[in-house]
Amino acid sequence: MSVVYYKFKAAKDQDFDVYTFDGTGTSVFDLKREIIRAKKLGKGTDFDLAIYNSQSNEEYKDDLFTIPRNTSIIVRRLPPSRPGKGTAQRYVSGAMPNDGKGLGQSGAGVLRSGAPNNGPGERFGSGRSNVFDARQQRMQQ
Amino acid sequence: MAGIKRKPDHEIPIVDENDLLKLTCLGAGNEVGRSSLLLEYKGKSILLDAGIHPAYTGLASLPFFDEIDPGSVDVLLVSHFHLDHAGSVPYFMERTSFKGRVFMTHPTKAIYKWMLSDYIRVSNIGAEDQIYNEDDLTNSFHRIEAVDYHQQVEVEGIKFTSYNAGHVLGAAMFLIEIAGVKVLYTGDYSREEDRHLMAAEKPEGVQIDVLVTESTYGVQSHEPRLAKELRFTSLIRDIVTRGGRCLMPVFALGRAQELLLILDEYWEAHPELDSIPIYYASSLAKKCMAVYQTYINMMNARIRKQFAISNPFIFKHISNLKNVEQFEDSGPCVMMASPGMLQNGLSRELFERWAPDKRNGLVIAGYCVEGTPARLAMNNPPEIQAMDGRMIPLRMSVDYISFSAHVDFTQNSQFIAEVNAPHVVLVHGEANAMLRLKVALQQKFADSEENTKVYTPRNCETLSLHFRGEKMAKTIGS
Ligand SMILES: [Zn+2]
Ligand SMILES: [Zn+2]
Repeated sequence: MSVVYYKFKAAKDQDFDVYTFDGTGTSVFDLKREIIRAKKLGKGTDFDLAIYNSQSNEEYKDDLFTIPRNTSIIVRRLPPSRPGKGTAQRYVSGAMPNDGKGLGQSGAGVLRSGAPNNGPGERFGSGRSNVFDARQQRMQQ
Repeated sequence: MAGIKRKPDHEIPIVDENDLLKLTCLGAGNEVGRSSLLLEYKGKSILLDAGIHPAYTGLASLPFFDEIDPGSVDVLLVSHFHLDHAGSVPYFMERTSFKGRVFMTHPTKAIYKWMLSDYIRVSNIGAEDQIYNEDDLTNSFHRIEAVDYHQQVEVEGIKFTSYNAGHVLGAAMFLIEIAGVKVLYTGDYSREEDRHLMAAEKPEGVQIDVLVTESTYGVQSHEPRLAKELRFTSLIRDIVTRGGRCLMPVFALGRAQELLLILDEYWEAHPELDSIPIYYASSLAKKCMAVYQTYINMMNARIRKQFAISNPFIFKHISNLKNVEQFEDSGPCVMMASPGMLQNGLSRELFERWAPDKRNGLVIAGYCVEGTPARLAMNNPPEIQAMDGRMIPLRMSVDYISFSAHVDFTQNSQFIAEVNAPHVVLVHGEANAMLRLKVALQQKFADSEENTKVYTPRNCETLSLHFRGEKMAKTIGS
């Protein structure tokens, strides 16, 4: 039996949950599906789910990637890129894994799934921020 | 004194990070539910509200807390006791790294305890579904600091004051000041006095830089109060005189008290209805009645005057139901039961039981969030799905008369104009309602001298406003 540890980013540092499985590693797809099931996150239509390596902060975007056992994972629940179309539902319905690049090592599976190819983690940057000048020019008394 | 006309805003690529005031909706951005807004400026960090979303359960109902580092939040301010504003406070305080201070008004704190304890009991069937437990609630309760309206509090460079927001007992707006920049957060508010609450006030004598306001009703206008009450009482009368049962799903606290006051008065004036019972099935409300009585001084003059004669919250014609077993379902009646959006519990049970009989009537008296069973019922589908999955024919009449104490377009746009802040941020509204309100406000402001900006940020989208430090303003200001 092998394990990986995971916790939501906002949760307390000691609050890691354990996912138990057979083999030397788990696929990103299986882990995400397990998190949604274990944490009762519902149908997954309302959010995207991103997972990161807790040491390197690197996002696991490729559903087919194998996470080695004993890894600690940080989980982030994000608003869906399109309302009502959260990518998390893919893991609930058990649709084809997405490799996060749109092409994937195996190629065919992704095209059949028709899943969006942008990983949720791409939003981590400042792409969605807008800066406005709020300067005020009131007269000083 | 009139200020110099404000220059139009423009995007500026490079700014001192420290001069950016950042606003991030963790919830209630283009939606109603799970209100939570992070405000950051000059290294200070304030979270406004921590609610849950009534259309979801468990962790999925939380605001997007993973977006922030709770450990860096200095202060959490809670506007009122409704679950969509306070429902995730115990989670945020006890299950994350948050170490800051938490404030709410005295009545909000008193009701918070009962409200959330009821929520834990009703919504979480299995222990592992719980996002927090009774212990977390108790611990959070002891750490919360209660404030009075108009009391100014200072926490390491963050100054804030609460103002009466109408809406429900104890509801507050917060005026927050950091390094001279002033932000007003309305929470849910109403500018109309009703049977027991005062209208929301506008902070006087301050120039507000950023106004964050609710937009629940978008560009809709409320029906005048008297016409609405008449429609409401005649509808209920129709249902019970045709031999039907009238089901009114309500939030246990808030609007329920207003509806009870209306019904009690109507029954008093119509002795022919004497034989028809009005039930209010809420042990929660009963517990909280003491709080209502304690804070009668925070309500309006009318109810204070009544209170001098006899306690208006002791109803003549309304019987409290302790449990369903006690309820003899034997004929026409009026039943007020929670929860307000038929998600589960008693209101849902009775809805399923009474839906197939066309004599019965469902009266929805509050705002219903998208995706909840009450909202679905408003579309009059031929069938509804029961909790156990069965399909049940929906033959009972369904009516919607909104008594929710939120501003309508007239009240909101007037308040926005009076506050006259250069930046207006809309929250707590469905995407469409919010967009229409934004357009209407922009049209309104286009005619005026002011150069007001209106924003409708989505969840987790950070809005950054640039305010120059005071020294800089003196040098650069013309
Ligand atoms: Zn409210
Ligand atoms: Zn609300």
